[in-house]
Amino acid sequence: MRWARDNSLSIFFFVLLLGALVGQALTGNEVRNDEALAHGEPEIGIWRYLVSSHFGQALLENWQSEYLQFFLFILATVWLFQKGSPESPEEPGRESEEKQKLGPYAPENAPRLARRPGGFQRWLYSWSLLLVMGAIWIASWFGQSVTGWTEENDTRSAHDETALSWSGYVTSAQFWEDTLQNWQSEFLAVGSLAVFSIYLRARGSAESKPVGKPHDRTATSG
Amino acid sequence: MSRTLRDAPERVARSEDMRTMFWLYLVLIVTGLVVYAIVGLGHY
Repeated sequence: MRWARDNSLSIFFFVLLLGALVGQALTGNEVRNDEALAHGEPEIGIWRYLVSSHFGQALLENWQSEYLQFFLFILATVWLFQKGSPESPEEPGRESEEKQKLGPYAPENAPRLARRPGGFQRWLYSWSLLLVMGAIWIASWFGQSVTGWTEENDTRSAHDETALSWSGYVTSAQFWEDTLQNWQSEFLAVGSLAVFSIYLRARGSAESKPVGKPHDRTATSG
Repeated sequence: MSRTLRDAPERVARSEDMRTMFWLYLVLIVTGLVVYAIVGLGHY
């Protein structure tokens, strides 16, 4: 049970994710089948729906905006500053080797690449979180574009309209509306968290300052 | 807190203890990205 306690945050969200995915698949299949019936097309089963562009687009449209949010948040919190926010660094910038525990300042149990004196591999490891989040964002945005493209052409085919090329779809108003409606909510949530956390508190949360910490004090550390 | 509990050496979680969840998330994400890229490109 020690393992479960050590990983309770990631287990909690994984269970929520699976529950939400099952719910999305069941309700999405119902929506898709209702549309199919209205157009005199055959219904499909849940397993076929799970590998459909209808489900894939709905899934990846949300994935890409979440990963963009975290990618930008991680990047912006290196270089930008919000006085009083626990989400902001006290001093923007990449920080010194000493503060980042790199090279000669790395403790014995530091990640192997952090102990290197410099070089490309250490650089890569130093930005690995940002690079992985950015790669997932780009890959899921691409996935949204190809599943959305297939969906769009299915609709066009049902209405006897000409099919769009992939480049035609990614420059269409439909693709950008689907994308931007997700982005705006992510930007709002991140921006408001940064400023709300100046004056508001959640006792014990890593996203909050200690309850008694003054409003004008930046960064989480008590 | 009793003296015994307070003085008990705390077992420190090693990085291996968190590896399962790291890979679980990464494999799920990569699988989703590959599967739906194929689904979209294959016009399923």
